[in-house]
Amino acid sequence: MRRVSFGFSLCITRKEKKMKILKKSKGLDQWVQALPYILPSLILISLFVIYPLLKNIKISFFNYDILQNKTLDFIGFKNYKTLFNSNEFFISLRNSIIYTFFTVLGQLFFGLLLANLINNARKNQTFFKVVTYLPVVTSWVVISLLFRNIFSAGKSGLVNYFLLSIHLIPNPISWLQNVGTANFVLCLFGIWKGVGWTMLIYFAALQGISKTLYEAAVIDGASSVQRFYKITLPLVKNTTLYLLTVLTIGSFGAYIHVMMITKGGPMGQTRELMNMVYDTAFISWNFSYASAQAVIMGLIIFLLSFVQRKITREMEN
Amino acid sequence: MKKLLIVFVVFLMVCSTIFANGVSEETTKDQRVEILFWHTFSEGAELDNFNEVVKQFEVENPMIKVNSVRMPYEGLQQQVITAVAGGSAPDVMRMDIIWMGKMASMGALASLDEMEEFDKYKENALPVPLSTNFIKDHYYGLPLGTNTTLAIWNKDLLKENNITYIPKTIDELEKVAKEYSNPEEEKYFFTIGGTYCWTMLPWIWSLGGDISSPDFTRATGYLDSPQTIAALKRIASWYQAGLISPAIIGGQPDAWTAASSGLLPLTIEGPWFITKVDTPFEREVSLIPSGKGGSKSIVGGEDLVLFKDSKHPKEAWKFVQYLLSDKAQLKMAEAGMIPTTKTAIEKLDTSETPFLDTFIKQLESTKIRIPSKNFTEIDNYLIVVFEKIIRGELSAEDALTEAAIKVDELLK
Repeated sequence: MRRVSFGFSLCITRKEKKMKILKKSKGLDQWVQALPYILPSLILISLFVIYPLLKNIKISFFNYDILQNKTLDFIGFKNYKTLFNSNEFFISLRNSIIYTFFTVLGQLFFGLLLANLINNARKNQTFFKVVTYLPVVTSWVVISLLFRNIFSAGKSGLVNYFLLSIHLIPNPISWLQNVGTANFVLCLFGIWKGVGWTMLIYFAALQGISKTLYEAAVIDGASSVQRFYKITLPLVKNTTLYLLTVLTIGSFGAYIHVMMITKGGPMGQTRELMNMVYDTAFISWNFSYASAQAVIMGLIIFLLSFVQRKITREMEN
Repeated sequence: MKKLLIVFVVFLMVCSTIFANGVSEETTKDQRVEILFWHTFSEGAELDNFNEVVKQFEVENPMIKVNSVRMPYEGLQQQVITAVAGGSAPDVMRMDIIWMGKMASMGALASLDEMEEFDKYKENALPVPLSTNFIKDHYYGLPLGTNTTLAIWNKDLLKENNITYIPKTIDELEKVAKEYSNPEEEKYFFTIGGTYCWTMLPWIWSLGGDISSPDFTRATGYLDSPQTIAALKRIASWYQAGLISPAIIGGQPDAWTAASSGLLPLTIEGPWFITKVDTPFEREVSLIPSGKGGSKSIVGGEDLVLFKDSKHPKEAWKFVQYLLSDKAQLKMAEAGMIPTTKTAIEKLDTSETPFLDTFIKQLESTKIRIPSKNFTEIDNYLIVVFEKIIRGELSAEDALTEAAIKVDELLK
């Protein structure tokens, strides 16, 4: 028996080995077949994403001479210590979180609302889609300057003029000169600029929901609100989760609106993380410190995306 | 047959002469050294006159060709540094004076001390604009353009409000402004365009304060001095009393828009406000109203610099010398630029541009911003500090004491 079992197990191990070799060679074959297709992307990603990423991490631990493109002496975690002791960093982080929180929620809410309205419109769907999508394709700089003028202080500011004329406010508001209102304007800008894109993605998701579900719900006596909560929302859940991740990453990386609308003011209180990195790198020319800021910013975004993914998977299960 | 032969020979000779000339011209052209020059001259008279100067230089120096490229000012500093790092910097550049400290400290610029006849040009340059080029015991440039701000009055508004005289002192200005201003009606006598050094320093200096020692090595004892604290308190009181518009803290309309639309009786601006703006009101210029520190203004302008990696430093230096000649300086002055050399100033005819006399007089009592590699950081930091004082969020004493220590670190 022992001999037989031994022979049998030997047989299995040989088979397993063969299978493994076969699998390996099959895997290798697949790689060889796929390589020509992925090689260009692989080279480009390595050159323009992975290499700069690694170089960025390296620079953050060294003094760096931009003119000679050379890392100088090793300074360890000095930049990171400076960063975590800097008040500016926490103000920028707070602003980035405020901007991300409100713009992501706003874009999701209004995007879904608009997609629903347009989806239910019997006529001119394309027209409404184009109108809603227009801010997305309009220049950030142009729109930022428009917002700056619309929300200008004093009685001559358009928003102030309107609010004063309908007696909603007794005195003109200095929108961009107070931290709260300035952040409000920035968030409003972010929502307005991006809502067209979320609308389009939601619209595509809504088109994929079978009409029969709604018809059955109507027969069962479900109201339009019930249909929205019981059918639409659960069926666009995956789209929402996708948008959540993409919009969060996008919001953290946005910086033109601050640069053009508030210029970081009042008193540098509306600067976001990306503006801090930009100013440190391209105004102070301190690439080493800017790299450390970028690493921390990257880690924050990575952690947020990771947590979101984890929650998504749990929800899917 | 003979005739034909003669004609043919003559024809050949003529041809060979023509072609020989052509070849020699081309060879000369090929042998010309090309230097790259970056500038930010404005379109119009300024650029036209400069192009004429370049043409004349090329005529007088047939072996040098100047490739002058107009660059947009926005983002230019980034472009210059990127170009230097990538080995594609120009040979010569007309550079904003506030970048000198940074560029020289980074090792992008060539020191001019050893250049032929440098001392002659140094002696002839106006001393204050020249001082913007002196960094760490070396001269890294020579001033090409200079300017300053002074008081520009809206005479129509003054007449309308029965203000019969132009205030010469800050006390007089304050008195008139109090009578004129009414913040509820958004009626302000004047404004300060922001809390950055360019707009704040003329007032701080004129009120007797300062932000650093004369050798720019420390801020303690200057930025936190009783005089500077008093100056900041006084400016803050103007804002709180509504004598100056909220433009100082970034409010709209900004100082330029308010002044050019004729909303302010007084604006503090440079010569461009007169040469480039067609205001709907009659203007008059005067020195900045004086205080305890006198009538002080700030120096702006551009310096001519050579880059360290220039392949043709000799030719580039020749071009610099030409641009600083009286001929070139006076040609540029026709477009409204203030010359930067003593000899050109003497020869300058201001009969058609009388306002230039006041600018030149104001230039005699001007100071420069800190020529430090960290000037941008200092400026950005002080913007916030000054704004907090003006808004009343911090006391001038506390804010300036803390700021002086911080600026000291940045000056190291």
